[in-house]
Amino acid sequence: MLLQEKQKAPGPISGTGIGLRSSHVGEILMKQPDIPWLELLADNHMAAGGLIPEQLAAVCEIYPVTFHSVGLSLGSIDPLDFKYLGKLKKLMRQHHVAWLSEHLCFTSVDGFHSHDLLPMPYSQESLQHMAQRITHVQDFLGERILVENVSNYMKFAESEMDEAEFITALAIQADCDLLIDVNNIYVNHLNLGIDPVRYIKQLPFERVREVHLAGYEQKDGFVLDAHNNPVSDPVWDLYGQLIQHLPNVPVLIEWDNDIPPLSRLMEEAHKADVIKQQYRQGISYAIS
Amino acid sequence: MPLADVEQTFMQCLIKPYHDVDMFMSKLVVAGSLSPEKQISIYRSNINGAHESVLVQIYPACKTILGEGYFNQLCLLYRIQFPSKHADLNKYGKHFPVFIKVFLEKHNELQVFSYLHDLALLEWYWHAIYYSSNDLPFDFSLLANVAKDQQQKLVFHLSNTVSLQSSCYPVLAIWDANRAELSSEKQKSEQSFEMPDEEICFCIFRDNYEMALKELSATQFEILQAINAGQTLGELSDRFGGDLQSALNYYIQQGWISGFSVDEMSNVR
Repeated sequence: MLLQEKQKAPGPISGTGIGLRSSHVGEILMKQPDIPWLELLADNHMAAGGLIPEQLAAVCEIYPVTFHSVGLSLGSIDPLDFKYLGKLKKLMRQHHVAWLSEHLCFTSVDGFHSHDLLPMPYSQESLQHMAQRITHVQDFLGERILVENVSNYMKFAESEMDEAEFITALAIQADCDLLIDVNNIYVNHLNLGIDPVRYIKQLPFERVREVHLAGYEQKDGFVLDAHNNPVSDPVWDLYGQLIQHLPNVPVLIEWDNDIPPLSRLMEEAHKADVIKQQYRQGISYAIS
Repeated sequence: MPLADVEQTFMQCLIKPYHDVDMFMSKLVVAGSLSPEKQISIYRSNINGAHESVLVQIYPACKTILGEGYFNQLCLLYRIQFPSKHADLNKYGKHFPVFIKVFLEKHNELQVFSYLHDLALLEWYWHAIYYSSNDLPFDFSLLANVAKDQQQKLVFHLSNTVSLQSSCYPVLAIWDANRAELSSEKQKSEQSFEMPDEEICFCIFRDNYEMALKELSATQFEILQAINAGQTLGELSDRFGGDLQSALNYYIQQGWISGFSVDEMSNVR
């Protein structure tokens, strides 16, 4: 028996959740800490047998859960992998997963898999192509997916629009929702020189269904979206600006490398809640 | 450049570290502090790091023995020869034992590491079986219903969660001593292992959720190999006689035999 006992039934996705990583699964199942929801890396829970499927089922019995995947390769020119998509759909139905999010990128082409989030030119061709594939994915799943802006270390001469314009047009054309990663916006600001405030102002807020927060790492001549540090102060500031437009959006803390104790992640989540609350109160004060 | 060409050229730059990047680079522009060369190098480095960390996770003993620097070089060569063809990163590294074998054959100076292929194979099985699909428990009621004249045609099925391996090297002792990082080079250099008098046989399996390994006698191993090769109960009886009954009971009890079919007919389970 993985669980001591079932203590609560999963509810809606709201508040600030945590990206669940394998090092914390045992603690989550045994102690059932007060975390409003969890995001699981779907690709890490697709093992055919053994402990992993059991853990997935146990976690989903306690917590509201969303899936975050990296294998759909939404921008790829390869055919969509319906076998992979079928597995995702089955797991989502089986465990009442609230939604699936993916990335504004491609990860594979010609059958080769990079296992990294590769950028595409922000062109009309890319836009049409990706919108069509997202539509196919959503038709197959029978629900909208969320598409996340990625950390980008490349700029194509052929890009015809900036990323904010591209992702906004994509959301409208594909009729999908968005996951906005604030750290990714800031990393792209530091590396590529984009204007993060302008980026946020351009977003179609009515389609933003989730926000990610994470930390980056300073490397030789650039910053890497390494998810191995606390959320940086400038990212908290940007987050504050974003949630003014999205006071009720679910927020998630991601930490993938040099993972600290779960309690440290919960501190980050609490900070996200406090900042959100401050903005809410500020708005109330201004209204009154 | 059409999107297809962009993606294909980009991928070639990534999976072939020595690929000429000029054509792809001409499609990039300086962005912020990043030159086109730097942009490509960041992605190459990210991917190399991700693949290398998977191989380190799967093959800890091989890495300890070869040392980090040499192992990392092998990882790079492996990535060039065997770029990932599967979305599931857990499947990356499957060909590493074969890659090691060929590499050793080409480099005489590495003959001292001739056991590495067997060690890598063990580490791969240990990794792969952890993620393999579950089997249903053996159904004794179905077995009891097999007609007497069909019994000799029974073909038992080895579980998905079992792999068989043999080696003429003391590979289990080497694995056991090198799975975790050694605390010092001295400790590493002090290792010595006696060659076994005869081939060692073992099976790697998943016991409920835990990985396990068991040494087998030569007869036990041959029976399991014969089962895995699809020999019928009649053929097994002729070959192994009195050793068979207790061996079959033990394998079923351990969950190493998960089901059966009758002759060429489809699985009756």
